[in-house]
Amino acid sequence: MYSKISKKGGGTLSNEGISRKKGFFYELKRKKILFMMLIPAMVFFALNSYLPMVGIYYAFTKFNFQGGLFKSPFVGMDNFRFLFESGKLKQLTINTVGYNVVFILSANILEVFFAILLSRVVGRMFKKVSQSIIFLPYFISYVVLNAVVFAILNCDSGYINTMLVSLGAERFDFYGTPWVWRIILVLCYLWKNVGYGTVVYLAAITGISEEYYEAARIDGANIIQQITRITIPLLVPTFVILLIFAVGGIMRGQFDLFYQVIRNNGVLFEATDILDTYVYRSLKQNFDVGMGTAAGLYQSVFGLIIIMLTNGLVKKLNPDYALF
Amino acid sequence: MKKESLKKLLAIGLTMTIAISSMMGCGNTQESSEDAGNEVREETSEDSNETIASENPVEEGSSVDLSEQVNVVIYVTGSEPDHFDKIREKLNELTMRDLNCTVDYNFFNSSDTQQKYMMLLSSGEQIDLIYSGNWLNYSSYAMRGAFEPIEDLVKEYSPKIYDYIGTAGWDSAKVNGTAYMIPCLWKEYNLFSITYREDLRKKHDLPVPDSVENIEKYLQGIKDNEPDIMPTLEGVQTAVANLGSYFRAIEVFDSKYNWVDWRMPYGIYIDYDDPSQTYNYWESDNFREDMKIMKRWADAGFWSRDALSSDENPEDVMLSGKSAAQLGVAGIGSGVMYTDRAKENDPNTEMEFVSIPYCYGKQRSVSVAPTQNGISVPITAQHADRAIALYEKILFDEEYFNLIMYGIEGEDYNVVDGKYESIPGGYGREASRLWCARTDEMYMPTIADEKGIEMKEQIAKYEGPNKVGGFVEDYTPYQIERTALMDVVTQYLIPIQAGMVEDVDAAIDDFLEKARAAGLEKVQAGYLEQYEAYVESMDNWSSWSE
Amino acid sequence: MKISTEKIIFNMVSYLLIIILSAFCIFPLLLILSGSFTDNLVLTREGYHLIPVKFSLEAYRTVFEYPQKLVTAYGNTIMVTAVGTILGIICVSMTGYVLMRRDFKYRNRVSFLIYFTTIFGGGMVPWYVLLSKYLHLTNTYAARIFPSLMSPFLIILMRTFMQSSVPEELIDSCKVDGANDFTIYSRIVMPIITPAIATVGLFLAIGFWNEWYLTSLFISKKELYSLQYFLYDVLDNINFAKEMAAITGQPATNLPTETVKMAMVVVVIGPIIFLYPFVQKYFVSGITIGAVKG
Repeated sequence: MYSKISKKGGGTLSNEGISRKKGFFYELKRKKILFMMLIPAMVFFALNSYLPMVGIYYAFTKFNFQGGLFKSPFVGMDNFRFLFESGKLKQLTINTVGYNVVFILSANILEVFFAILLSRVVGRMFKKVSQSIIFLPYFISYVVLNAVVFAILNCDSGYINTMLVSLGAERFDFYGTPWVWRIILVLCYLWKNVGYGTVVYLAAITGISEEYYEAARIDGANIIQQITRITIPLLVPTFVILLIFAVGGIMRGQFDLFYQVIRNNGVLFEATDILDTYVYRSLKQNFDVGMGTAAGLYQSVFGLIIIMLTNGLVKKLNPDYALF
Repeated sequence: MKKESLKKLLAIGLTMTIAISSMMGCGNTQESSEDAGNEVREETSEDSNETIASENPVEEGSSVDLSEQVNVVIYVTGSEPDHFDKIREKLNELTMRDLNCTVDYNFFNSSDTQQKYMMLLSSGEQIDLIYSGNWLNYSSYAMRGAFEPIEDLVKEYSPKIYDYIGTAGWDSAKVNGTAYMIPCLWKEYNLFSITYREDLRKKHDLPVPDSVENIEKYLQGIKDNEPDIMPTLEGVQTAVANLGSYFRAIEVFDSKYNWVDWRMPYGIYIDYDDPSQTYNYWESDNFREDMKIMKRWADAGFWSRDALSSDENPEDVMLSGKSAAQLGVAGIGSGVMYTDRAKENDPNTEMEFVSIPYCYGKQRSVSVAPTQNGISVPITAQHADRAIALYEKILFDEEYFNLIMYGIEGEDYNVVDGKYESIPGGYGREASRLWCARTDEMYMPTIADEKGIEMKEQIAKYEGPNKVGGFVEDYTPYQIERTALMDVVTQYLIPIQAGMVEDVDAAIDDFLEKARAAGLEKVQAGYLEQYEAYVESMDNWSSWSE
Repeated sequence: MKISTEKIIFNMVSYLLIIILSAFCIFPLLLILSGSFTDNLVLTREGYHLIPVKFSLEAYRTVFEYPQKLVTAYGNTIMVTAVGTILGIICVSMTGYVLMRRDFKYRNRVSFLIYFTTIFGGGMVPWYVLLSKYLHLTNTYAARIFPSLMSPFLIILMRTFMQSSVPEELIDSCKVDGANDFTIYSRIVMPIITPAIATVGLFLAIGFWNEWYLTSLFISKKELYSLQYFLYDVLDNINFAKEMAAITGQPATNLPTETVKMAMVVVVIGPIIFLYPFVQKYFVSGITIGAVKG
């Protein structure tokens, strides 16, 4: 839409040449107010994120309390060994990335789909009530969800098994069957998060100018056409943002979901173990700052590589959607 | 484009440098904040600026200089109990009167206690006393330098505590030759019992479940006769001593072997009568046999197929009548409580418990290690002298002890025949979480505790020394392997223990293979080396064999 | 005529699908609600049912045992939520606005720096030390507000919303009229982006409302506890009472644990059910935003 508009704010060509030479301070002076408006964010991220980032150094030390961050002995890559030598890193990486990909895709498709339906359906009351309902699960912690999932799936008195038995079928041992959890975990994730994402898309749809639809209607477009030709293309920037955020954290699993719902059931691990649960299990008994940081660093580097690739790809397709 | 990204990197680099330099600053202050009243510090003394607390002239006996008013900061685990405000207020009155100090008594509570503990200790905040214990990895924190060496501090500031703990007590708290904790000498027996339904047992003429065979008969009897009742509710128990977690039902094997403690990590069996005898339980046929029993029980449907994921509260489940036994109930009181509560809940049910594992089966009971509960002085303490003086008061002064442990007499509790009776709605018994301060002299049993007291007396008759209580493992040499092993145990061993595997032998082979790949052999060798050194050193100790 | 049949079919299908999704979402919630009103032991034995098998208010009685404390927790959580949300909206929208301005030369670099924090982090310990030891946030409301004031996600989301609903020409014409950058933001941009503010505000509010982790790290004074943490603490105290009973053999009355967990959910969600429809009206389609265009 606006990519065609010339970048007026950047000034004329000659002006740009000067600003490049004069650099930062020239810009600072010219855009004083904008810079000032950035101060809260700068302070926030400096304190909350960048200063604590020195802690990454923990990953390379054998921590002790007297030495603290900088005087504990340097051990190189030793803290990474519990990841790399576990023989599970490949499986864990595949699981983590795999689940996240499925989460991202299925959630976004459903969210866009329902956001569109909700934005178009008539009946204010219906709209309000249903929106509230699909949003509510976001408040439920996975600890509580675990109790509900257990109530539904357990072998002896679970809803599903009671039903199967009354239908004369065999009981199904959910908690002893790894593969079904690939589906159940995705359902749990969707249950909790679809409402949240739907709100994001709904807000984006609300921001679309009515004029476009007006024009389309005049051209004789039906509802489906309006949706596919106007709404969906205009949701792409929002989708890209959600995607980029999800992709950056692709090595970080939904720890609470996996940990609370599966608990310590080793039988299911081959299908349900992700990097976060593995690290937690390994370190829970004796929290080691060095190893914990090392695991985090692995996730970060992996995420950074993936995100660089994704952003590059987005940039190639449409530079306007790229994040940076 | 390339220039752009270079600039980005530079920008990041710059922020990092600023960040690093400011954190450097923090490192220094952290060191200077250590109190200077302590001469034992060797490693850090070279760069610690001599600051704060004025040098106190050391006199004979207690040598705490009370001239300056200070604030002592205490941290204990758990959440702050109701009505603690008034306890805190009263405590401050007492300390202002006696010790010229105020007390900042804090609780730390979090879904992740270990992590919070770590953060508190590494944050550099002033903490003068902190609860410590084996279950909070006392030895590991001690080895990483979180605590001050405490023996000399206590000797100087509270000779009374020093004498009370005694040589054996101090020895038990030593990590690589230095004590970092005032251990707790109060005898506690962490007994496990089996709770069962006496009414059902009588009804179906089943044996009392007091041995592996009888347990099986009892559970089978329930299974056969009571289709609506789950014979037992079992689940994964988390424990510090056993590499994180285990399946609760394996407690029953404790009565089978003459080992020091089945909760020894890494599958090492240590013989109780001759602790120098060790062998590898996981590699033994016994282990395979035992696990086959578990498999048989699981297949017979003694516990739910969902046991590994179940989050149900076993106590509630049993009281609700849904299950007919629990195989590993911790604490002496549990059994007593079950029987009482069961009656209260439904007069027709009758529960009983057997505390066989130590008491009847092996005729032996062992109290928990003194380092199970204790108190330490972190390196960030500023008033270790006053803190230790305060701890002396808590340990030996009835006014302090009763206030902290039981609250205010008449408001929170009554004393009936020298026994404690709680007043409903008051401050909870021992809610200050300062269990480490229990002493035989001060401890007040509860009025409802008769059966418990009786049992404790009985148990005490069978008491044998805790032969490994003083052994402290230093797993730093094999920490990586141990970490990997912990994961293997959860993933492969626990399902075997729960009988949730197709073929026990194959599963065990698989488990051992994975465990070896994780470095089991290195871990066991490292552990045994230290353990053997400990056994050798203990030969000289008089109380070794009683 | 053709359009209206199409509309009817579309609506019918939509209704059906939305009802299915709503049912999927609400079923567990109903189980939780009913669970919270069930007797604890009966719940343990009989499991969850849509209608309580044995009705009991025990769980709520436990949660409301000290109504004054609960009110305090509610009160300060409402306060933190209100203050945090307002401050958060200001900070997030201001940042989003700057990053949206095409004439701001460093917008991509700053966006990257902000985004970068979601990928790399130094872990908990240094962060905790900084906030507690150097910023002295322990036992202050600031500890519950500051760390969740902004998030990269919300900033970038705001930027995207602004890009798609605030036309470049509008800003340019304002500049020609002599308005400064802040005036454009406060007078022109903010009123246009109400749906975005509603969304971001909602997410911020939920974050503050649900907050318990920051409390667990930085707060040890009971009167500063957040609602969620207060409830967590109630549960913890029950468990402690049970443990103590186990150790000493004191008779503990039947303290509910499972049902309390469920009642906690209800207590926390309750007020939000009333908040959401209030925010919702900003999402109801039909607000003409494009009108300002041109």
